[in-house]
Amino acid sequence: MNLQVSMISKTHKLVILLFLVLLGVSIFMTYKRYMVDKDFEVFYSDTGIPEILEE
Amino acid sequence: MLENIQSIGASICEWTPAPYFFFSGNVFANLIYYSHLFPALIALLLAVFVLLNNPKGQLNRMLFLLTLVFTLWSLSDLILWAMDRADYIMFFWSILIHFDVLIYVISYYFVYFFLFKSFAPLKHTLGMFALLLPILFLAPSSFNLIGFDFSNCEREAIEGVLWHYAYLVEILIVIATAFISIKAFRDSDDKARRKSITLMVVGIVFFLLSFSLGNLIGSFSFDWTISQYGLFGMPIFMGFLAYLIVNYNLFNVRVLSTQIFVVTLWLLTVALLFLRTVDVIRVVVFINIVLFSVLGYFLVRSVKEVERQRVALEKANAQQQSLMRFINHQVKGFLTRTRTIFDSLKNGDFGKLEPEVGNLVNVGFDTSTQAVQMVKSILDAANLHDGAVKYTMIDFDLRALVSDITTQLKSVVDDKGLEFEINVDPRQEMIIHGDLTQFAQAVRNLIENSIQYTEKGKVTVNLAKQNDFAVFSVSDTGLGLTEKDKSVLFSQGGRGEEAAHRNVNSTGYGLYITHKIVTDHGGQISATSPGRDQGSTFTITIPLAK
Repeated sequence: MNLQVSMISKTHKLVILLFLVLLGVSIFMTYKRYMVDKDFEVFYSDTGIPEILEE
Repeated sequence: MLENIQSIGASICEWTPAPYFFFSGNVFANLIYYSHLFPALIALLLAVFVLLNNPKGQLNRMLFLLTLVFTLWSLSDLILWAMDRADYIMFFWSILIHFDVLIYVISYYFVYFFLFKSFAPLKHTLGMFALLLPILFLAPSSFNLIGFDFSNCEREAIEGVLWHYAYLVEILIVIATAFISIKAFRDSDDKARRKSITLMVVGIVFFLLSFSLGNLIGSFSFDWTISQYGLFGMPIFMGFLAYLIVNYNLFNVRVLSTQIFVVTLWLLTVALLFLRTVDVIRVVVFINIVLFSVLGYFLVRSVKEVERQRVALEKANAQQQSLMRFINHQVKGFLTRTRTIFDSLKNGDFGKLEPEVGNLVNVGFDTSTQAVQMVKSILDAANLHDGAVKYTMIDFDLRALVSDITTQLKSVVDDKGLEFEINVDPRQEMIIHGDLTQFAQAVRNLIENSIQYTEKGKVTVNLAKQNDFAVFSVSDTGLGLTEKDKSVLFSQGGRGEEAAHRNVNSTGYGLYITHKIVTDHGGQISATSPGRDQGSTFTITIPLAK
């Protein structure tokens, strides 16, 4: 079975590269939002005290 | 706010800190460690071996990438189980969506490369890109995670609509994977290849579906414990891969790496016994150790056996090739020269011969002609088998070809006193795309065979159009075939038992050559016969040129 590297076109490589860049940006933006800016909503119970759910 | 959540969590919910990310008292069951570490480590281990074996192999790289992303997913998910901080939970839960869909995308490319031995085309990548864009853009938004649920002690985020979209994308990719696999399966007529396709696809689809179902159940029922079982799809997929490695030499992994793989797997499983102590899990681990010990032993043994056979086969092949070269250069040359000498004598180049000598020369000429033909057919079969024959593909009319060959063979049939029926519609063109010379040999072989093995009665040649195919058949009232004959008919040197007795000069390569030429042209060949001495029919079905 020939499993050697197959050639893909330059456009194809560019599309994959663009995807990887967007993936990196997306993960970075997520990191910035939650870990740096701590920007997220917290939902409390009516009493404001978390309930202990039964397993 | 965050410190507040943490301190309330610690006092009311008894959350404990996780200084090393993965380990804390928050992980309530051993199953969580077992389901996350066990599949990821095994998968990564095998993938590293496979990659080291051939770092440039595209399939090897894709498997490594797949297991790497799966490991990242597992580790991120494990952090969610162990961590007590809301910001960490929100971040790692958010990026799970990236790893989640990537596992499916890479699996698709992996299967595509396995099936078609080439990278998926650009339009597939563009399609994937379009499907994934909403995920990339909306991952940092509240479409991904609505918020952190502090109404209870479960330390969970609330998933948004983007997760439902991601599940839809994943299901679409699983369907696409199954679709291309079925296509490749139907296009292949090689039994071994079909089996390897089935194993690979069942393995990967099982893995992806178990992963999807686990996550879907977790997402909709909020019971994330059940979803842990979905992760065991990965080692099962790896089991399928291991089988493929052993039986089909996938990735060309050698004996040593299989041994290392088995031993490490065994040690890893034993180590799990000491991770934490819950009796039920211990039983599962113990059963696994026993299974691995038995399976590992057989795996290494069969790999050794396969390797031994491969070496022996390579040696035999080299010897056969050297013999072929010898026949090609020497024997064929001797025989051709002998034939030329007899031909000159026969043609009177050395004066008129006495009648007795003339008869002897005729016998010498016929015998050397047969010998040259025999050597030529063995060489043709060897060349076709090794792929050394280059086809010159053109569009040609099969009807004209059949007419020419039947005209040439008419005198042979007449000499033998047989009836010759030819049913070819002269008005209907049948253009096929192929190598004219090679295909002519296939057609000629079948008709000559029928003439050869028919002592009385008739030989019938039919050519008709059926939908997009040309159907060529040769029927005779001759020797016929038994079931045993049929099973060896198209193999190298395969001859019917009776055929070998009646024609001692037959090499048994004619039908092999015909079969190879026909299948190389995308056609099919079959043989039917009611039984010994009841005649036979050979049929070639070949697609018409579009």
